[in-house]
Amino acid sequence: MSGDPHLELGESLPRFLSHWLAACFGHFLMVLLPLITDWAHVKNATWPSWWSLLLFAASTSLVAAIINANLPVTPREMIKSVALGFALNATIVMLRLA
Amino acid sequence: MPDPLHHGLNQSRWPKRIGRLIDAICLVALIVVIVTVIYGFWLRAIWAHGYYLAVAVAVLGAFVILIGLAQQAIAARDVATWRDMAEWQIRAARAAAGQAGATQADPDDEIEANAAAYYEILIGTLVAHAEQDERSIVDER
Repeated sequence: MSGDPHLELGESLPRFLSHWLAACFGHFLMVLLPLITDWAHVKNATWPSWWSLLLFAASTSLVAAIINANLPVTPREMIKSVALGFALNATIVMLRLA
Repeated sequence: MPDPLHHGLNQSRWPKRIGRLIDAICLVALIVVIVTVIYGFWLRAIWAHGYYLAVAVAVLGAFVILIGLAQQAIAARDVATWRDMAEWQIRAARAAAGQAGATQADPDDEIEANAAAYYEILIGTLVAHAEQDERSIVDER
C-alpha cells in the first residue's frame, strides 16, 4: 500500500498558506533580531510603520511560499520556509533595495 | 527493492526515531522563532503603539500555524488507523474465504447469496481486482 498522503509532495492551498506564514515569520525575525540583541541603540532608529512592514513581509514571502508550496506542513519543512523568508529579507537588506 | 508506489518524503533511509527527533527539534526551533518575533514586536510596540496591531497579527499567524500543524498530525494519525482497520478486515475476509473454499468442493455453484461466506468471497474477489488494478497502474508508470 502507498504511504502517508500527508507526507507526499504536491501543491495545495493550505500548504501554500502555512509556508507563507512561516516565511513571514522568518522575514520578521530578520527585521526584529537587531532590536532584541541591542535594543538600547536601536531605540531611536527610524522604523517603518507596522502596516508597511507587514505588507513588505507578505509580498516577499510570496516567493518563498511559491517555492515551498509542495512541501508537507511538518515542523521540519516549516523551518525551511522560515529560513527562506529570513534569507530573502537578508538579500534585500544587503542589496539595499528597501 | 524500492516500491514504485512510495514517492514523496516518506521514503527515508534514516530510522523513524531520528526523523521524529528532528521533527521535535524543528518544532522547538519554530516555536522559538515565533516567540522571538512576538517579543520583538512587543518591544517595538512600547515606543510605537501602532505596533500592538502587528503583535496581534503575529499572534494570530502563530495560532494558524500551530493549529495547522496539529490538524495535520491528527489527520495523519486517523489515516493510519483507518488503513490498519481496512487491512485487518481484508486479512480476516481472506482467511474466512480460504476456509470456506477448503471445506466446500465447488464454491462457485454451491454458495447461496444469503450465506456469510458469499460476502467473504465477494470481498476477496474485489480485493484481488483492486490489487490487479494497482499493479497495472504501477506497470503503466
